[in-house]
Amino acid sequence: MAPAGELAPLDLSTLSDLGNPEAIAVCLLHAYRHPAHERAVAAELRRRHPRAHVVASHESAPEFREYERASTTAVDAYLGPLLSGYLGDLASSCVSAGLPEPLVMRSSGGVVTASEAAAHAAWVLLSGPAAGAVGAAFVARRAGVENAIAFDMGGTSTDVCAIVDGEVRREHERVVGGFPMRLPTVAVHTIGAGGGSLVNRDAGGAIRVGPESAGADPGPACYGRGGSQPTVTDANLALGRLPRRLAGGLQVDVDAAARSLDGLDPADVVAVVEAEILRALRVVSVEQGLDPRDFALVAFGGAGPLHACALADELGVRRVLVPEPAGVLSALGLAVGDERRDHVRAYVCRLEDAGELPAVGEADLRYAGQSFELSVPLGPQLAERFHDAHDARYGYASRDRPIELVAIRTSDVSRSRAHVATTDRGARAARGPELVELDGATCWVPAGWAGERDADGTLVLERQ
Amino acid sequence: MIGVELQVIGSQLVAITEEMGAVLVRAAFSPNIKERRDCSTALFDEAGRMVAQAEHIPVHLGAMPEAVAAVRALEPGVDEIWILNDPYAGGTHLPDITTVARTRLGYSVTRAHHADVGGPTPGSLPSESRTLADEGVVISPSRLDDDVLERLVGQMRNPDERRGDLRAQVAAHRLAAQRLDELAGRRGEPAVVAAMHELLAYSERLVRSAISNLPDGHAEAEDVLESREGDLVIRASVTIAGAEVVIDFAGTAPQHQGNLNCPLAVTSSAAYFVVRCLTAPDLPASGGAFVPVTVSAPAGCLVDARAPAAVAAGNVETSSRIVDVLFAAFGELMPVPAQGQGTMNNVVLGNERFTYYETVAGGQGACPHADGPSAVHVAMSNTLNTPVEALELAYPLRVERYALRPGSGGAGMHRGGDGVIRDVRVLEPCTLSVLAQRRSHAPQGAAGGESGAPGRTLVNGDELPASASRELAAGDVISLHTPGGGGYGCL
Repeated sequence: MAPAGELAPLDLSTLSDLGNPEAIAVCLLHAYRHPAHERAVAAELRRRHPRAHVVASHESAPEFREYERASTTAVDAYLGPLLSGYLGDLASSCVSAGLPEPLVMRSSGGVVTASEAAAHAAWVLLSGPAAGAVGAAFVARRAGVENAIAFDMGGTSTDVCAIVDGEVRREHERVVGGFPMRLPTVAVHTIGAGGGSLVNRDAGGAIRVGPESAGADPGPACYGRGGSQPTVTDANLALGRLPRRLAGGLQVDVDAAARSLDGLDPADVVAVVEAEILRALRVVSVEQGLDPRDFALVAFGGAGPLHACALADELGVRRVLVPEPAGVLSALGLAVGDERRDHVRAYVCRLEDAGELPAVGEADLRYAGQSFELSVPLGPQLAERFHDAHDARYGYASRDRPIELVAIRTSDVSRSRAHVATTDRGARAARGPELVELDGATCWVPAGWAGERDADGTLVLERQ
Repeated sequence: MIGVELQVIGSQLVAITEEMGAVLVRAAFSPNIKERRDCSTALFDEAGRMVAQAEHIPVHLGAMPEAVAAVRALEPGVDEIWILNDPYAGGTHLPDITTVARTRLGYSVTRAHHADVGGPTPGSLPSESRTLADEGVVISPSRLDDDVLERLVGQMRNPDERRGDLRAQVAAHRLAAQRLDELAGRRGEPAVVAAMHELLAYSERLVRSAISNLPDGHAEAEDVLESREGDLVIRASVTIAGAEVVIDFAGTAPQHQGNLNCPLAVTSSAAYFVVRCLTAPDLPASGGAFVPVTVSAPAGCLVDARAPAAVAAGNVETSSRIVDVLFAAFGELMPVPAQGQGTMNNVVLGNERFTYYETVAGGQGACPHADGPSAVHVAMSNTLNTPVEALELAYPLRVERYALRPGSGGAGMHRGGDGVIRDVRVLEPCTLSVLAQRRSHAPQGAAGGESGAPGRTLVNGDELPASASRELAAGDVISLHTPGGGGYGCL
């Protein structure tokens, strides 16, 4: 195939003998717009290898650029047998236990049936972090907040994601374990800094936090399970920002935390880890053209609510939401996720030659000659809105340059009907400096911050 | 000990250079900058010292101070943007266009490899240039305004693309100015200045400490570049003494009539890259890291060339060999990896209608504890490949084969990486220009490992020399077989 179509007819007899594979990924050049040869090769391979899991690139990720498409297809095929076996077992166990077939969350933050999820394993790779962001968006919407940044700080890493107009931000490509994945994914940005991250001083005298982590075992020094190197959690304990008995009943050892710090000022440790997280928060806000001052911070994960107010001050954010289930917000996200099916169609042609476009969705557009695209919502005056978006993002627009349409992205969404019951725990106000204990997390409210719980139990903190 | 506030501000300065790079890559027009990220961004202090650099390719590492010095000497006003590419006045080779802006706290700098800067050969990397003027438009440091921009792009091929790329560079400066204003507003100007100085001092401390951990000693090595006049020797001596490294290129061949010459900025950049590999590879790039490293070369030699010597291949090919020679010398004192492909296999195809430039991956040398990766950019290059689908859509070219070159990596306890084979059919008449090396001298193994296979360049099956130009007819096929990396250790 060439960009314009077939160069020579396909000769299936040249397909080599593949032995007895478990999974096969098929990716042919230009199959994103001319899939006939790829379809024929995949059909032939399915005929020859009826037990193999065969995935063709135009089914998995029908997008321009062969390397990203092939990489996505290979991961999809590689994980397919494992995931479909597991989900099949899970579904049948559910049925025999009298439960409905489970829904499965994809990296897009939407759920699909288990059999759909099993067909394309690559689509579910980042379902965990996606669920956290969906949970944060849900909590924010219930609190009447449309624009927020989800800030999930756990033991080993921190995930952040922007929520705009009540919706988590999505992106079309990300790298997972070194492999580019060209699939709709909640735009979660991850860094290797969490409560259990190890702290040390490097040869130049600077304090470094992570990416090595004390993990759950031995855990931070204050857990008293043999950890001797200080962690972020030890610094927080030394500053009096953690209770002596953590959620779950673990009794922590303040002296062990102090010993591990060995003269390091715990406030310095917290300043360094917050600087790292601040960079991550800037990546999902200012680097995307979003002004964080228009956003609230939704803090969750075991350690998120400890650092949220200080980070909000640095970003100019005036409101912090701490959900009641801060320690298990991903589970809430799974329960309230919408059913969602994403579709992409590659064009790679002049916008004016594209014909009629869907009314709702996104168009990936660029100036002819450019090689990266901007996503613009579909609708009237698409070209004009692309010029404006380019100007807003890059500081200039070339209104006399032709525009190319690279792809159209659409999605079918059915809203979740999950019912979330809340228990009224009564009004509870907090005024900094104060330490607020939650079921699975601890919230540090510094001086200058105060607020109270809303009907959902979400602690809504405002800068005073 | 280092004040944590300064450390925190320092991390924000590094973040600004990264955001500048993100803006430049996203806003640029040419695939070479956007898809292959052949560009770098940096912030300098008032005294012209490099505070932080977000470099996407190593050959830009530490090669910018000369550009800032050249502009600084002309006393630019705040927010003015200056442009240059003259290798003898702050540049490296002509396609690398550098812009320097005076900020309220120093300078911001961008450098990007443009696909064409005029001159007789499309792509401005002629294989047979003899003086700088043969290689394109020479821009001595000048104030960039709309008139200058139009005058410059008017002398280059594909002026729309050039204009777009230069505007992307300007956009990165605007962002830097805005972010520095915000940072100074929040933290106070004196604190930001103090953080700049601390970042410089910190990186110097870290590198000194790492050099102290290397064994003291003195060693020498030499290697050659393949040229039409025969092999040209590059010779280097390295001395590690306490916390300092001294590198000297005495014994290197004089500058020659071709274009393998390079200015000392490029040579220093290659030397910093090697020292960084041996000491603190994860360190954010900052000028302080270069202070303990002294680089010298005889004036007028191949690696410290003087005007008007041609330099097109210096940045891309000579720099690779400098890395090889330095690793070989340090290898006398400590374990180092085997040699990688040692060339960037620069290919330019073009006519008055289009210009396609790309460097092609090859094998990396094996390490003491691991095989060398196959089909990667080695040492001074670090760019992505242009997708075949993008290339065939944009240019009258058809990629007929793009495959690993099995068996090209050297054998050993750990194998060298394999090179690639790339066959491209041209669909309309155009000019081919190839700048490559390691066609007759193979990448060497280390510690008893075997050498990798040398590279080959063929047109319709006929072998070309390391550097060559050819007029191609529609239907001609150029085939590149890139070198494999050397193996490590006896089998």
